[in-house]
Amino acid sequence: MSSAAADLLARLPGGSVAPASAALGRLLPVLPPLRPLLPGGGLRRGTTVEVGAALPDLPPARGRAGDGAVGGCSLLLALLAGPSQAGSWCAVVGVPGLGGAAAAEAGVDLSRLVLVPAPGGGWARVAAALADGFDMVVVRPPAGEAGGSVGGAAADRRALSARVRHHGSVLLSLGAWPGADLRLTASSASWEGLGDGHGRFRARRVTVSSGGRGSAGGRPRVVGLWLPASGAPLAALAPAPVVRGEEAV
Amino acid sequence: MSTPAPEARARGRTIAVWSPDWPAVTAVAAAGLPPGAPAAVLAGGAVLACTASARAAGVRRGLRRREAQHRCPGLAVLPRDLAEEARAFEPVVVAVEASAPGVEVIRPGLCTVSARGPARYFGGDAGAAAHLAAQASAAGPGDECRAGVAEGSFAAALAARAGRVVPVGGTPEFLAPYPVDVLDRPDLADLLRRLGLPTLGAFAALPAADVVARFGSDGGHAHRLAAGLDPRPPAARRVPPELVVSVVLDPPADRVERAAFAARPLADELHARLSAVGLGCTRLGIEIETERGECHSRLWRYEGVLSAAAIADRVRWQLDGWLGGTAGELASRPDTAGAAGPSPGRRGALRGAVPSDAPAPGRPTGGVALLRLVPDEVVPAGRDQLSLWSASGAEDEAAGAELAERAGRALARVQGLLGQPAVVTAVLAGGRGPGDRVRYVPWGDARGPTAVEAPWPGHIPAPSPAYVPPAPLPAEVVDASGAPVAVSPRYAVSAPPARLAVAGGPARPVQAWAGPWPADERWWDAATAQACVRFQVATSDGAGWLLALADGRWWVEAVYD
Repeated sequence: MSSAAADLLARLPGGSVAPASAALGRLLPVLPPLRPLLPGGGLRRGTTVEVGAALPDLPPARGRAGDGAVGGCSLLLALLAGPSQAGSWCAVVGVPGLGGAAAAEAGVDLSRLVLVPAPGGGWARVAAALADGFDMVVVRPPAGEAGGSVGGAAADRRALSARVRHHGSVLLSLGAWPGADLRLTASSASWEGLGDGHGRFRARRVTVSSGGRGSAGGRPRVVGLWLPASGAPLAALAPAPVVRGEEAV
Repeated sequence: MSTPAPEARARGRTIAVWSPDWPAVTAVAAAGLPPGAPAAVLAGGAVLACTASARAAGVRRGLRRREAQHRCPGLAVLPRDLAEEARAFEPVVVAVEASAPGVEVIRPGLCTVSARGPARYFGGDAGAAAHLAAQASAAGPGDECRAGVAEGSFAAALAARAGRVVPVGGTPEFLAPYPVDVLDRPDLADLLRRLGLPTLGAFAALPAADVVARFGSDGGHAHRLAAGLDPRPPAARRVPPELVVSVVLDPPADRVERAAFAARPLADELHARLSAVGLGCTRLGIEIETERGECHSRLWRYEGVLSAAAIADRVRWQLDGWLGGTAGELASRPDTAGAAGPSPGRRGALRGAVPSDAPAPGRPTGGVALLRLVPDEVVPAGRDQLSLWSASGAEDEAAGAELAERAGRALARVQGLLGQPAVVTAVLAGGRGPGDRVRYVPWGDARGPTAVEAPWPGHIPAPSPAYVPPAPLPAEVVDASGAPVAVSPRYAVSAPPARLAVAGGPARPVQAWAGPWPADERWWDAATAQACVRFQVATSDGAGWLLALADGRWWVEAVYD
């Protein structure tokens, strides 16, 4: 279903829409350049989205140049900007280094952004408490538990996903989340504006790929973006987006 | 839920002094009837309180007027007079205050005081309670006041009704058989009964976090009361000074009506200020000062959160009590007085003046010139309990206020788990470094001014980095020959950087760089001076870094993640 058709359906009065399409009305809007990445053109309520990042205080085990995903935090802020401008409340749990100035520049409304930088061991409990009341909840599962599929961490994750599904919020994970409905990864970034001892960061070209499972994930899509663009926090790449997989959305 | 240590439990010991049927007793005294006459006070068409003789004849609370008169033919039906109740309770409070400091008035007829001092002085809780009850009985029109001792004012009030002294640590067992109606939250009580939890003991057996998640912070508060714990949240809040409100009455009010009328907008302002920062007041100090400098202050405790109307009522009660039944007129001012504000000295003869060194506040001799409200104890203002079957997903077009309320409820729960400073919100501030551009304010505190219009020469230009580690990461920057890159005092770079290693990780080749951008801040103050040189570096894996060189060491200040 194309994003234009989704917009049209969302504008129809609720009573005349079939139940399956009514679920599309429960989409949180995102900034236009990100729409091609998401099935339905928005963030579906109740889903869990994994945003790929490699935060440098945990150096990646294999640090080959060009390996690993970059642009996780700014991609996350770009995802938060759309719903925040539409009036949703956003909560960030366990990410003490999220740049507030970058959030403001991305378009996140700071008066509706709440941070819990140090939840301690009870991050899942805090996120579950926030899932009822906040439309967007960002968590960062501690590294080391990401690979486990049994044990307390996995049970926490399943319970949190179920809680988010029940309350109709969106859970964004800044780190590996096995079982996420949608997975967004930013890769092959290249900065523009810096020279050899002069200039400054102006814009960055990033390739963002999305994949997932079930109806929330859809087919794998790849889109090129300016993240950030010069003069704007996010912009689509001017030439046609690079698409892998079936036809362009 | 762990049981508190014995010392902590003993710390909350409270003596409550309760005078039974206070509204009826005072109404009987005011109407001039003999003390043993059967009488009932009606409120809203139903019996609110009745004297002992009426109760013996079968009159109960909640009966309609006709039914009560049928049961007790000689019943005198009297209207309720809150002012009279407050006025008549003032001598009782003064009598209790003479033996034990720090009296808190909950409502006319019930006051509490901490048990630590009196227990030591009178040789035990039971002795202190008996002494205070005797003092109170002698001072009031009621025939007998009862006192009870327990942990916390809620349990102490129930103990006073039963006239019991609950042993140390025995409050949960004492509270367990009481029905949930004593919590005075009819919706919650109804819900609990339908869930099969008719007693406080059954309610207290539930895990606290689940109760808060289901019923909100008010339900959590009730849960703590039912368990016999201190209902105040674990993170004690200091009241910021801007929450104290006061008004100077000029010319001073010489009638209670005028002072109470001036108190109403003051109460509204206090309530608005507290609500603006998401707080509710559970204990309020009201200070009244006359133009002669006589000061009368009292602590009022409220079970729950005080509303603006409740605050105004208490100011009126305090004024009524202080004046002691002079039909609202304060003593007339002599002609020699010219001051309009409170003056410390009390020179000159005044008609009906109380000696200035009298310990108990006597009747005031001048008009009320200053009213001050001091919120003594504040809690994060939660909302009423959520319905179990409330619809959870809000539509995208829901009113912003509704979303803000839901968010506020969730935040109250999290603050109950982690403490109030753990939840913060970001406010734009001014600064040069990436971490200075934003200030983090705990949720519930005032957000403060957002001043970003001032120019900050040398600040990091947009786009701002998305990841700013809480502490800068150590890094190593080397040039093509492997020597560390240095910057001369004239800001000349020794050699172009070639490789960057972050926090002991592998070296990444540098693709492009820019700098140095010096930032020499607060050079006039040796203690807080910060001088560093900043660089922007792009490495070949596509990452962007904001590096800082200070004191010859390289740091990663931010990552353009």
